[in-house]
Amino acid sequence: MKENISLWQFFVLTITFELGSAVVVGIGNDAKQDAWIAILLAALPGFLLIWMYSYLLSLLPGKNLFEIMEVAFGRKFAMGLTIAYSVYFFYLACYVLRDFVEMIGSAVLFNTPSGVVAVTLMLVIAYILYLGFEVVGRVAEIFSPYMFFFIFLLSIFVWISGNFEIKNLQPVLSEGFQPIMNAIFPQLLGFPIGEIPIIFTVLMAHTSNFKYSRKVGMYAFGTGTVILVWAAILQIAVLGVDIKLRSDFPLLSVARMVSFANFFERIDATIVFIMMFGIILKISVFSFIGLKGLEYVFRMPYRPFVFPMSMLIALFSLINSESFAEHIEKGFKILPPYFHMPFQIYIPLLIFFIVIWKKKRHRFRKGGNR
Amino acid sequence: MVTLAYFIILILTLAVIGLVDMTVSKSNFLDSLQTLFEGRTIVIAASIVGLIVSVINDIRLSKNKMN
Repeated sequence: MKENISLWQFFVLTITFELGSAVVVGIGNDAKQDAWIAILLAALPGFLLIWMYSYLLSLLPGKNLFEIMEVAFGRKFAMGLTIAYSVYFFYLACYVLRDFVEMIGSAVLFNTPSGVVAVTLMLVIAYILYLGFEVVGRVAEIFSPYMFFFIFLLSIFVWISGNFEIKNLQPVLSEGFQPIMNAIFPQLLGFPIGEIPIIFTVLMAHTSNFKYSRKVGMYAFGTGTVILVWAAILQIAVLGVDIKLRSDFPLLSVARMVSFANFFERIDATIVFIMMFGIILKISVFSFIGLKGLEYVFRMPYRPFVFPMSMLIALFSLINSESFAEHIEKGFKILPPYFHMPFQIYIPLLIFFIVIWKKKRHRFRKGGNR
Repeated sequence: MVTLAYFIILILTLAVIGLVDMTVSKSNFLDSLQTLFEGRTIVIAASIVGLIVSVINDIRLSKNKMN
């Protein structure tokens, strides 16, 4: 089974991953009507992290995050840390799955038990992963144009139906930069910005041409950020800040307001499609990385782990929180400082500096022995 | 190995979920876990099927090794 994806597949996979659930769930809410500025500014540390992590990967070609941890810390400690990372990525996968289950339950399948939705989606994802990561890349390649087209179509429809009020974005920076900084750190840095650099530490090793993957990754990240900024502007301009803050799925609320020609109304289905596709890819990527961690620890191919772990993710998605409000509170208040920051930034930065130091020491010793 | 991984991930993730829930709801660890499992029959059944599949995978892998 092939595990490599082409650079184009890597490009669209990254954009779709970044949009994932973030494009529909409201992000940057602490910044209120300046959420779009917060997202734009949060991308700057994202670019820096991508550069740093890809530089780390270039120092140890062909190795992924877990193998690099072995170089930095030794096999025993790396195994423990890898298990922690696998738990983290499966936990993230279950979080994203819960977003989807709640959205489907509130928008489309009102009477279907959440468990049925969760298990069904995980069966599809388990099948995709079992066939290999190349299938994930192909799914991204085939369906992403539809996703981008629907986002574009929604923008046109919103414009035509006259719901876009630019004055809802004002006053700009009325409370200064403090709310923006509060929104960026640690919330936006943890979700969705910080997720991209950390997944690159595993995915870049699976591209067909590593040499260009950093550039492609940066372009994809930039493109995804622009779309996220536009989605935030759309939500604020159409709904206003107050409704956006109170809405569980602001983009869905935006789609429900589209109405013109007494014919185009309630285009929720397009948003459900956008979110479903983004979430399938996001869960697939998180699960794949968690499975690669298990592959490293147990020294065996990840395929036998796919189905059992997929069912565990379905279980965790529903037992994680009793209600969606609790799920959102945990996702925005607890996860960023205690999980996202350590696993996405602090630990990888530590690994980065340790590997750089070890490389320099090795070169110094080689030079000293001449 | 697959079954071992299953239990490791299950226990560690439940611990994380319980700890996070404790932080939010301010209840004790076991109470948090107990309330979270209520009414989740379908996914609990699915995870038991996952356990059965992991045992079967382990048996198949050890048979392949012996052959």
